[in-house]
Amino acid sequence: MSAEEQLKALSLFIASRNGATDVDLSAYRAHTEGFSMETFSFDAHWTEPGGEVFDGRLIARVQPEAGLLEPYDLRPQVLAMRAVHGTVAVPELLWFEEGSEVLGAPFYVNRFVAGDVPVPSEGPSGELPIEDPLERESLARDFAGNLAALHRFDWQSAGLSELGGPAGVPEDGRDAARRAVANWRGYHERSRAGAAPMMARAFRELEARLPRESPLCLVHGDYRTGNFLRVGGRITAILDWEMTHLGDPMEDLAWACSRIWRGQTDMPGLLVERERLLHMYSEAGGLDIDEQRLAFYDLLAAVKMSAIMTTGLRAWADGRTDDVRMLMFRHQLAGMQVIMAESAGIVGALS
Amino acid sequence: MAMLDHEKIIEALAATLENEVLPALGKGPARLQLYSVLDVLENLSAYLEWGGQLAELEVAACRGAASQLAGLLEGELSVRCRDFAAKTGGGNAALETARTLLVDVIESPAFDSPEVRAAVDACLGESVLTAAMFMKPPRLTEVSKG
Repeated sequence: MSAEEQLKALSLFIASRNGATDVDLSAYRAHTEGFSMETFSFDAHWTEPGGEVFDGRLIARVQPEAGLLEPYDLRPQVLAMRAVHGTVAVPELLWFEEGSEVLGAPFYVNRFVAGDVPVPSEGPSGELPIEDPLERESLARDFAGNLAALHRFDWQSAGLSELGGPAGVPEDGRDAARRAVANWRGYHERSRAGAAPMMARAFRELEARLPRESPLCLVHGDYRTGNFLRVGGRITAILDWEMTHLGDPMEDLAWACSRIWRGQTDMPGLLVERERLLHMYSEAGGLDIDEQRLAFYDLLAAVKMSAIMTTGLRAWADGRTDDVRMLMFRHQLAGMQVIMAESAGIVGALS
Repeated sequence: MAMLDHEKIIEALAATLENEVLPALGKGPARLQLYSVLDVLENLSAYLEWGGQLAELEVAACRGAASQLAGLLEGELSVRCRDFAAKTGGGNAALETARTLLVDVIESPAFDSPEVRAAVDACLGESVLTAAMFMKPPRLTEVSKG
């Protein structure tokens, strides 16, 4: 669908949903910064049946056919974002359309939130994406605070049992860990990446290290620098909820602290040192830190990223996406294997 | 044509894209795609130059491990390790055989043995570190990783 067709279809959709009149959508802009969702923003104007006028910028996120996290299902992230709105900094969601009639695929629309997205990589000369240490400290505090609030969120009262997946709510943290391993093994196998000894070794290690017990909470699943919007030293929105599920809180913390997002520094997400971030999380009321479970989920983080990369490569190789960014994963996999080997204790820490 | 090697062609393509095309692009999707193309080209160049050698090094590391594992394992896996260690030659077929053999050892009950695990881990450590040495540092940091 062209931009014009998408806006026209959305105009009709908004009018039918709201009974709104005078619907005018304009200033379309495609956003390709993320890898997963097809995203575009636009200015919207309409008049509600009661005469109230809406004027603002909105974002539509459309379920892609293929990509890093295929097969896609928008429903879990919509449920989670709606539930935690007001508790965690998330954009307000206006509509969710599960059918494909309007835009050719399911989509949701949320209010535009101002801010830029710092990426978790250093510049060519090692410069940090956020150079001011005070700004980094403030962002880290917001980052830890939002995560603590998410993990403390009462998902049972909010009726989010569905986020346990097709098998239902995990019995306990061990069951959640087992499912997480099985989930990423599934991605790896479906990507048909060929014999991969390091992945096999990592899966073996994960099975040996399965945590005995842990609390269950609402997990974001991709909580890290690169997935939040900020204005100065404040986070304005936590984005990219595609991998949200019920699991161990250490899964989010390990992912956020993974070497994948540290560049050549000791700072998770290039924000602050790991110990400082963990302290901020605890101080903000986060759940108990457990280093053993963190180590398990640190290894799972590298496995997960590798599986995501090979899934993207498979989608490209099979012609289901023509996004050339997927091709970068071919050489980035070598780096991911080193991180995996470090986390599994096969090689010593290199930096 | 012998006078035009792959590396030079890729360098020329990358230079044109970076110096002539990139400055003309705004901050939109086309710019991100071009950054990705440049990143891939840079690493492709390294792969064309060193990829064959890299595969040979991984096969050699696996042969060393297979030789050691043949004495530690029993039955069919031991025979396969001995056969692989005795073979010469490399290429993609040898690499695939080596990797499949390692995966089978890792997934077998014999992997519970500390000696077997140590032999496999030494081979894996050597292979992943060697492969990472050939990676170009990502200089195109404008490409989001998420």
